[in-house]
Formats: sequence, structure tokens, C-alpha cells
Amino acid sequence: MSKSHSPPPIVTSNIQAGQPIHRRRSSSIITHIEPETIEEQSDQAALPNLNATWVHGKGAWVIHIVIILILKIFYDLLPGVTQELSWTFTNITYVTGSYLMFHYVTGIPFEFNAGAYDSLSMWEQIDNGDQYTPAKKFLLGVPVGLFLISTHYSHYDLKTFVLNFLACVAVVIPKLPGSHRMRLTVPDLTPQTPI
Amino acid sequence: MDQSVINDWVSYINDATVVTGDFFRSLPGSSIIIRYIKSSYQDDPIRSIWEALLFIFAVHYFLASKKSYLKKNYVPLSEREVDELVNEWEPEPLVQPLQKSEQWDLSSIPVIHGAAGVKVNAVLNTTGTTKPKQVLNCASNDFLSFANDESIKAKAVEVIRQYGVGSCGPPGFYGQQKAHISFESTISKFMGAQDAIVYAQAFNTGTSVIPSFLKRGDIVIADAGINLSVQKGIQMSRVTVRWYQHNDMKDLEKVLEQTNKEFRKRPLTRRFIITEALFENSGDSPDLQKIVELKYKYKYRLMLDETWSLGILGKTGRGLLEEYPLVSRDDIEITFGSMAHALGGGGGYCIGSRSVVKHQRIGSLAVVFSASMPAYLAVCAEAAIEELSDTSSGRMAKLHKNAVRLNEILATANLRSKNKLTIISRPDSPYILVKISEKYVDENYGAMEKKLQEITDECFKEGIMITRSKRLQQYEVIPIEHTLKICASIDHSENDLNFIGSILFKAVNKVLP
Repeated sequence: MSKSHSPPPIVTSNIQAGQPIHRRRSSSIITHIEPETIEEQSDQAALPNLNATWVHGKGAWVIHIVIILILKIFYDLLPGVTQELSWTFTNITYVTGSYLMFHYVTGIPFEFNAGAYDSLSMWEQIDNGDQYTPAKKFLLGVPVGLFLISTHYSHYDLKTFVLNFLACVAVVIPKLPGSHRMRLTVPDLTPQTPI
Repeated sequence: MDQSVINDWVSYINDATVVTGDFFRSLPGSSIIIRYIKSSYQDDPIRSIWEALLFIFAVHYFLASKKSYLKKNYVPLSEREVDELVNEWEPEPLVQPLQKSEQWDLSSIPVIHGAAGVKVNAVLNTTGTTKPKQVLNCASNDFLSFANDESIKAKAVEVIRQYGVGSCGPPGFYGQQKAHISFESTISKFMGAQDAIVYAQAFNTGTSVIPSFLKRGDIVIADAGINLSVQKGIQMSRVTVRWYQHNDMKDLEKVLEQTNKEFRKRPLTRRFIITEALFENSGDSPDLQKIVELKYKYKYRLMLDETWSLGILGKTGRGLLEEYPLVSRDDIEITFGSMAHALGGGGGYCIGSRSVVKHQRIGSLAVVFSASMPAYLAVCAEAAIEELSDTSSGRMAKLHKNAVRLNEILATANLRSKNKLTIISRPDSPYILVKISEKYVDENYGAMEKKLQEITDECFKEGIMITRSKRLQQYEVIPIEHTLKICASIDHSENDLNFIGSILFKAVNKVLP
């Protein structure tokens, strides 16, 4: 057998790119995403992250208020929907939408850095992961404010209060600095994390 | 505690509450807040506590100051420290002086005086003389002698007069000329693919095609003997790579099975097998039929590098596919290669389905950002392909005859000199790679290269120009063979081929006693 026929050295410095960056602690459903390698950092820095930078725009802030108003008007127009239900629906719709957008979907829709952001949700991409920035404060304030208003106008009916409160908490917890880059994995239920 | 003290405290707190209450009521908008709090209480203190807690949390969040993860390791420097660092800094020279091994490498490159062809006037510094010497050229990749074809040369001159020597822009930005479009349709028809796209530079074809289709999380199963261009493409695309042993189909199947098992529960991403039709590093070919079978069995796509095989393999020079009648071009999703080898021109191509090609027009870095190939190269390559399509020209038949003959001559001569060399390339290929046999192998990289160069020098002195296979050792991820490259051309006569055999083994016997 000649030299090249012996098994190649698979562990070399560069060619290993794309190895699982996501190590799971044994018997734990909570994992943290490992910090980026130098290679990933340079890929991330190749271009401004267009998926996250737009949240700083004026329009991006105003649109939250506009969407909430439109939702409210829409639910009011439905026949048979009381004020209590209308506010609760508005709150839950907004919270679901924002959860999907900021916390559920990972990666970015455009391709310019070979998937360097694939394991990060949009919330984690905003401001490169910095916490307590103006955009993050605003985005956390909106669901809290919406909850206080909607529970007020739904006249503190216990059932709607519980629904609204749970929805609010579900969207506030992932926004906390403590949940940064944290993942819950339920074996056989959640899909395994992408490599 | 004294009763009067308590009374004092109570009245103090009462006063304070009244004063703050009055002050609060005097603020604009306070009535709304008071009304809100009054109506929200609604005899439900627990719920109100929850709301208050949430409100306090929000206020706390708003008041917190920004916390940056990136600047955790940031070291603030004073002005003096900055000045000190600036003064300490010494710029490195823009060009480093050559190291001894690099100087030797440079001097081992023969310099051809005048036009290239089958007989050239050349100087090889490592032989010790600086006078040009006429030698037989056995180191050229121009196997079919297209670079010296008079009619192709005339076409090139005509196109240069019309278009100039550069295209001055990327294909999407005024760089696409009629010659490119015409070449693309010719080569896609010749290779039996739906569409083709042309790249300006041969080496950059693989390094650009691979990253345009693959990214992090995708999987590549690659042959461990693949060439440097593909290695770089794999590295740049950031995919997860698994290597299988060179041309070992059993190992490939094992790796495919393991990989599929390993990634079974992960989200489905793009998966490719990458191999080469005629390996640059070892001169052999894979069992394409078996790879296609495995690819369908394990649900992979196939990428084939036809850099060396176009114009060399197959009866009409259509590459490795021509040897496998059961494999169709559609079984190979992406094929890329170069016109800089047997076609005697320059640049690279990628062929595949219409969508594969269309994606590259705006998704492949070398197409989008590099100036396109000069028009005359496209015209020359097209003329070469037309010549290949015309079976009456007999070029391919001649090449195959010479290739087989030279391989025979080398094999017999080698046997006579006690197998001091091993021919590792295919016995029917004009691209012949020989390495020094196990007995004489030195693990030291430099020593092996020196021995090969000595053989090359001896051959040059006797009138034959062959070459070491030049590799960029420091960039290779896979251990590489030290080989000599001997190329058969259609311009070699029977006498020339015999001459190559006798001279080479005379040199071998001298260097490896």
C-alpha cells in the first residue's frame, strides 16, 4: 500500500470547519450554544448582518404599534367577539408572531456568510448579542405594555388574565439576558440541533 | 418603646403620605394613573401584585445599562501606551527574502526560450548550465497539441484583433461576449449536459463552484486523494467533510452509511460526494458506475472534477463518462473542469442542469466578481472541442496510441531496471505519474524531492524535459506522493517514445544505484 492509501489525517486545522458547534451536556435538556470559532466570527463579520440591523429603524419600531392596532381593529370587526376576547386575541396573535420571528426561526434568510448564523435566533443576532440595548428594551417593552393594556381592558376576567399573562411570560423569558444562546432540548420531541 | 414616639412616627408617616399624595395629584395626567390603579385593583390583590411585579421588572430592564459580550476582553489603553506600541512596531518587508528551499524550487523550473512545442530550447538552472539546450518536451499538458495548431492560432489572432485581449468586466457587468455564450453551448452539447458556464481561471473553478452550492451544515464525502483546488473549495464552503480512502468503494460505502446514521436525526441538508475523473495527484480514475450506484442508494448528489480527463479519457475525449456507457450525464449533478489542460487554452467550465448553471450566474463568487475569460481563449477552446467532435481528425486515436505505447515502454524499461520506479497512473493515460519505489523511499520531504529533481536534471542533460509534480505541500491537507510527471503528446514519434524510456531509466539507474 502506498502512502496516500493509508487513512488520511481527518483532524487537521482548517478542513474541520462545520463540526458540531453544539455540544450537549449529558442528561441535560438545557444546552448553551458554544462560542463561535475564529472562522465563524470572521464569516459573521464579512458583511453587516442585514437580518438584524433593520430593527434599529424608526419604521421598525412604529410597525409594532401599527400591527397591534390593525389586529385590534380586525378582531373588533369580527361578529360576536367581545372586548375581552378581542384584546386577548390581539395579545396572543402579536406574541405568537413575535415569538416565531425573534426566537423560533434561526439563521438568516439571505446567503452571504456560508451559514455562520445558522444556530442563532434573530433575537441573539440583534446588536451582535449585546444586552439592554435600546432596540432590545423597546422590543421587550412592547409585549409587557400590551399585556398590561389588554388585561386592563378585558376587565380582569380571570381566564383571559391567565391566558394573557402566560403569553406575555412566554415571550419575555427568551428575551432575558439569562436565556441568551440557551436551548431546551426534549429528546425525541424537538429536532436535534443543526450541526 | 414609648407610646408617644410611636404616635410621632405614625403622624409623620401620615403627613408624608398626604404631602406626596397632594404632590402626585398636582402632576398632569396623574388622574388617569389613579383611575387605572383604582379600577385595576378590583379586590384582587394577588393579581395586582403580579402586574406590579411585571411592571417593576420592565422598569428595571429599561434602566439597566448596555452589556456587551464582544467587548468583554477589551483592554483600554492610555495615550502613552498607544504611542509606545506604535513606536515599537516595525513593519515586515512587503516581500520576504526567499528561503533556501524556495530558491532551489525556483531554480528547478526550466525556462523555455522561444515558442513552446514538442521540441523546445530551454535552460534548467539546477543542471548547472545557463546555455539554452534543445530538449524533447515531455512535461507539457498540451497533450493534443492544440496550443500549436496553426488554424487555432489564426482564429486567436482574428479574435484578438476584434475583441482585444481582455474582457474588462465580470460576466454580469459587460464581460459576457458572444464568444463565451457560443463556447458554453458548444461544450454543453459536447459533454451531453443541459447547460454550461465558463470560468475565467482553471484553478478557481472548483474553489468557486463548491462554495456556491454548499455551506455550513451541509455534508461532503470526498475522496482522500482529491486535488488542491477541490480541497480549497471544500474548506472555503465550511461544510462538514468526511473523507474516504482513495478510490476505495468499500470505504466509501462505509463512510456513507456511518454519515447517514450520524446525521439521521439532524435537519436534512445538502449532501454531496466529490471525486475526480482523472486524479491530478495519482493519475488514476474512480469506479464511476459504483459511485453512481452508491449515490442513489444513500441519497447523495455527485460532483465530478473533470479537469484532467477532458480531452484525455474516452474515445472522443469526452472524459470519464465515455468509459461508462450505463452512466448518463444526468447522474452527475455538477461537473467542472478546465480548458487549460488538454484543450490547450485557459479558463474553466462547469456543466450541469439548467438550474445548476443559472444558480452560478449570480451565486458563484468567481463568476460574479472576477473579470470573465478573454474572448480569444473561449474561441480557441471552442475550436479545440469542435476538432475533438470531428472524429476524422484522429487526434484522440493518436494520443491513445502514444499513451499506451509510452506506458508499455516505461513498464518494460522499469522491469529491466529492477522496478526502481512505480507507475501509479492508469496504464492508458498520457498523463503518467511515476514515484520512487518503496525500497528507495526517504520519509524526509526535501530528500525525496531532491532525488526526483536529480532524475529530472539527468534527463534534461540527455535531452528530455520531464518534471517533478509541483505541489504546494504546505496547503495540502492530505499526505501527497512525490511523483515525476511524464506527458505523452500526439507530436511524439515512436522514436521519441523509445528515447524517453531509455533516457529516463539511464537517469534512474544513475541516481538510484
